[in-house]
Amino acid sequence: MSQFILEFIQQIINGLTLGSIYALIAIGYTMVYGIIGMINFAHGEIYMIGAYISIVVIAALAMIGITALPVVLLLTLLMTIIITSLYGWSVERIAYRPLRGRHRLVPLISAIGMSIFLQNYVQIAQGARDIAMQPLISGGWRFGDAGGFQIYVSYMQVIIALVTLAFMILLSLFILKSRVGKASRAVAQDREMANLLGIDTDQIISITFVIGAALAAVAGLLVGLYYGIVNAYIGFIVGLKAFTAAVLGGIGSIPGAMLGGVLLGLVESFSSAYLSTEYKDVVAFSVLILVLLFRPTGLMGKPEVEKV
Amino acid sequence: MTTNAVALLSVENVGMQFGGLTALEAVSFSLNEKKIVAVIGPNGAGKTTLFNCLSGFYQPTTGRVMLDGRAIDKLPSHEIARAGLVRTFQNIRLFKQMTVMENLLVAQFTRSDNRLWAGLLNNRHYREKEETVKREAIYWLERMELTPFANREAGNLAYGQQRRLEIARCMATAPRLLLLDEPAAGLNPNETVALCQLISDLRNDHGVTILLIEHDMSLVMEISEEILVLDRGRPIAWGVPAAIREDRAVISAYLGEECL
Repeated sequence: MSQFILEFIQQIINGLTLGSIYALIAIGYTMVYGIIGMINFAHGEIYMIGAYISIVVIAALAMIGITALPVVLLLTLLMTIIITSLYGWSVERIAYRPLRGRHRLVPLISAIGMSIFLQNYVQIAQGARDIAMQPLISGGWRFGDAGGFQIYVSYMQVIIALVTLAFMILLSLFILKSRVGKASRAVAQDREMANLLGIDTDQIISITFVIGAALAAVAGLLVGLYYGIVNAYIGFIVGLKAFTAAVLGGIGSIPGAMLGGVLLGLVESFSSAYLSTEYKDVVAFSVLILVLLFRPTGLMGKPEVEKV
Repeated sequence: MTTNAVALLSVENVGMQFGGLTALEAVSFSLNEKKIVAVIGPNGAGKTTLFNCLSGFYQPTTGRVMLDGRAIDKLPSHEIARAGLVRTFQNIRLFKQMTVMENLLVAQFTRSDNRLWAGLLNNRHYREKEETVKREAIYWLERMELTPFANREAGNLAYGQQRRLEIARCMATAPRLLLLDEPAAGLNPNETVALCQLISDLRNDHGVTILLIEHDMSLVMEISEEILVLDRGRPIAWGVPAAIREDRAVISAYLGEECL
């Protein structure tokens, strides 16, 4: 195979890895937007907290002598999801619920405040410097001629793709089939009507924040394991990228967020490879601007219906 | 006005103000179980405001609303619905992007198992409840002649079918009191006749009490056992259809003083 094709395939693999992370986080933006029509700008920080919590949990497990890799991963995943979800739940209770029914800008500003608060809170609790994480899973497969370009797929990349896929399937089943999933779609379509039929909409909104936070926690854990370095600011840029992914897919649409995440990951990966790594953010945010200019409803979004 | 110790709904001196505007003032009446009662009045009389106060959409500024002896005027809408009072809207408000079946299932949210974990564990108790919920939805599909459209998106139904689905969705919550806000609006004469029949069947077969707002006077006169007349936010008459038809205050409210 020619070198060009091999490099191309490598970029697709890298893009899918990155895109999986964006997709996991983008779902939190899109679900919250779908249900209460606000952008939760503290969501990137929830992801960052997820990454920190996973490091703390791994360290704690090592301290009590649990080192078997599958056990460590499973317990870390579980604990990270639970604790991060509690953060997501609290953020909604503290920063958004008291402001419900106010002008749209009010919870938006509250969200930005929450985001700044969480960044500083983590710096005080964990220190301002980068924290490095010991790589738990290293290695991978190489394909191609030993002399020429080789495609490299790390085990971690495969894990990221598979875990993301599994959570996407779980989420889709939950939303489509479960009782709470149906109620959450009803609340997203007409909150007042759902309320008048006996659905506790506040409870459904809380569940939405918890689901968003749980998926962001999975992303945080995966990124921690993949890059091995976290700091209190990783939520900012990744949060904006995931938000871009949600807008690209059509904000409010869950399949849209999945698609948007993967597409944005691919765009970034290709632009790093064929333009310049320095321009990858420029390209990603140009996508945001272009979507907002030419297709504000995104790829899978429906045109906004004015709510009565 | 009927005063009875076992009234299903009793509205006591309810008033609603928006800033300086009085939309409702001193509205009192009570409804016995299994009655069909209409609320009529000229445009802007406060009929829909009254419905909004009863269903928890607004909190009345004064007065009390009792459902089966329990004050509901301070409760959030979902608790009022769980207490047995549900409503429809003038402009149909279905979950348009959900299927007809899903609309009927989601209305039974409170009846299916409340514990989050039960669904994950999928135990027998949970499955039985889910079965009941599904049976109930199927019953209402049949009853409203919507079975062929069960898996269609609700927004794609014909107008008359959407009206029926909206009523079915309310009935799926097993209400004791059903508020219908202009159920005949936009229906053709045949559909209106069918609606009349449906409303009295719902009362007879399911024991539900019905309070409805309607402009179609032939429908109002035919099905309601009693009528409440509002004008400019105040109740001006209450009685059986024949009496309301002759009531001078009512005629003057509708037609103006000089026509008498």
